[in-house]
Amino acid sequence: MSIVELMVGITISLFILAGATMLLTSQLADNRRLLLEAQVQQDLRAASDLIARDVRRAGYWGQAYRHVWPDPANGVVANPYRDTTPVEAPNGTTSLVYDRSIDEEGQPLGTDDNAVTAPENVGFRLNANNRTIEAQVSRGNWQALTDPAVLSVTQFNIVLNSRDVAIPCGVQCPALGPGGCPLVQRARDVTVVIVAQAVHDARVRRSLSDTVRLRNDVTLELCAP
Amino acid sequence: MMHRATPPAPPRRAPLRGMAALTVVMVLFFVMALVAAYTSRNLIFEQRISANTYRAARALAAADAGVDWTLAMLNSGRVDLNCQPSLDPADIDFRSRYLSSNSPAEAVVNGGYEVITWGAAPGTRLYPACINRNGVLTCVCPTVATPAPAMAVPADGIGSSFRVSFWLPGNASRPGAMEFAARGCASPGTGNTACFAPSNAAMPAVDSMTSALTTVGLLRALPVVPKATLTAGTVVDATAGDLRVGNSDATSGLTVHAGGAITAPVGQFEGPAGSGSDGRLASDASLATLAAAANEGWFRAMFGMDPATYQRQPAVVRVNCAAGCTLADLANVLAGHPRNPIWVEGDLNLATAGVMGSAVDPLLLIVNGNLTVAADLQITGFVHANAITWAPGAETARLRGAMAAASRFTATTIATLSYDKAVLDIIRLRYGSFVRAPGSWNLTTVN
Repeated sequence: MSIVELMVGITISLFILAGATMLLTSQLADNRRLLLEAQVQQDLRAASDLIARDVRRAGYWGQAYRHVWPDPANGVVANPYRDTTPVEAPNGTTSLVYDRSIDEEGQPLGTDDNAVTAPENVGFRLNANNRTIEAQVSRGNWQALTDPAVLSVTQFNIVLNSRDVAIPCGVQCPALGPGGCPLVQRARDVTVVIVAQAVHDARVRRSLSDTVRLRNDVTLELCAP
Repeated sequence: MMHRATPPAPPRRAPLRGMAALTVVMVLFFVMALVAAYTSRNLIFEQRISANTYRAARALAAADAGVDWTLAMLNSGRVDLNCQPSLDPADIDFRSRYLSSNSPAEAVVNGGYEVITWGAAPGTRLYPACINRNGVLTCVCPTVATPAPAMAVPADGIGSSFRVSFWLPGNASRPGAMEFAARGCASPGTGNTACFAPSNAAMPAVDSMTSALTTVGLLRALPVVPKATLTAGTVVDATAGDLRVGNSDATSGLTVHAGGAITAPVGQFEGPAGSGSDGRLASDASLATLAAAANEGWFRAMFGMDPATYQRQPAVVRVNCAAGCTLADLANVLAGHPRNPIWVEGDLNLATAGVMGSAVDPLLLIVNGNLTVAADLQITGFVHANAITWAPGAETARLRGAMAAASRFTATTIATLSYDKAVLDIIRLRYGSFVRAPGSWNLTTVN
């Protein structure tokens, strides 16, 4: 083999290699971006799933049967877990705190202390300082739901919509509560909007929106302000 | 001499060049292909996560469907083993199939329910279940006699499924309340490990499972039973007839209760034994006020809500009788809904002999019009109409229970009515629509 042949061979293979290497690097870059997108999407999805799953059961009360044919002799008990903060969350709200009973866990059905204990007071909010979504796992104990090293949450909206339905009335119309104001049944839903970008690449930006019908309506007395 | 020139030797083929370079390039290509394949693993991973999310969402949707389905079935009439509407008296309604027992003794208690099981162990409760395939439900509603009816499972195993189990609210029988868990699965499964398996012997082997808990309460169709066998808002007129009314129940005691005059020249009225009274109460100002009240005051006082809301309740069966109805028009409704309130919109003229209601499944009939009874009818239950006429042909007709007219009651023949507290208690404690108790929905581990 002459030196000329060798040179030609090497040149051609270098050309081929250069092309292939370019292909490989672009593939690797794409892959990195894909991974980043997957990670962002995955974090968003996990956060949204966790929020949806928990907020769906807001207002759960292990002794809801006490709403049914209540015995006035034993005192009518209202659902102790019916509150949310804020009560109405319009567009732009970044925090929602609510109650739901967990007294039944590991206990027979119907076990409930009828009081909102610390772990039953939960919620979600945006931490604007380190751009994360935080979950209140117990009263006053906020923990990050998203990883600040991966995800930078630029927008978090948690909107609570409610519609009141008047309670059917018999002789006394409208049906009045103990305070002398009309009773309504409130149906609620929560819309969560999260917009976030990857910390390592601001071009990777995703948004996610989810609407959850809260399964537990609340009955309440509406007094004019 | 000429020599033949020897032909030149064929040129020797040059040995193949560049073999090494080719090999190196091929090896490099192979490595690159490996790297590319490796990176696509992430996509597969991502797809798996998506599939998991999809399955979890399907299972939750199936559990939610189970809750809604159960609520609808609790408010329905007779169903067969496949939960289809039935007119066969051998098929009992969904509610009686799984809650309490369908006997007159149930009315004695406070209106609480028990869970019916087909064996001694709580695990042998009866589980209604469905498979949802492209929006078409295939269901089973087992009975104590047939605790595990056959289920038509799609051969390819595609479709979501749910199974319902009833529980006592707060571990005790509570008046008017019942709790149930709907177990939803992303796929039906098969055999003992199916989502719809009629036992708890094994955990279901399905793609994903979610169980939702709900308490339901009975919105009563007749919250307070009338104190009299016959109640009328205005007058009771039996001038041309004969009124024979009895009430042997000491807790109510009235025979005829009217807002206006009671005119019955040849009537017989029997109050409770030892009361010394015939139990008639005429010209009751409070009844007259209600009968004259605007805005359906009478109806609200009697049934606890306005008529428009009442007739839209899930358990109420509405029959359109704008042109008037006869017993034949009601035949299928009565056969298919033994324990539902029946709302007749328009006049009802009962001119053929028949039996309506029984001591076990009494009739709750509300006629938003005028009711005429003119044949040998044996009625057991509670009947309400705007005005009631007992006309010739009804001499041998009997009413057991109670009757109420928002305006007048007219008898032009013998009218025989007797009060039956047991029958009225069944209606008061058992009839009505099941609705969700607010605050009772939760994800649960019971199933």
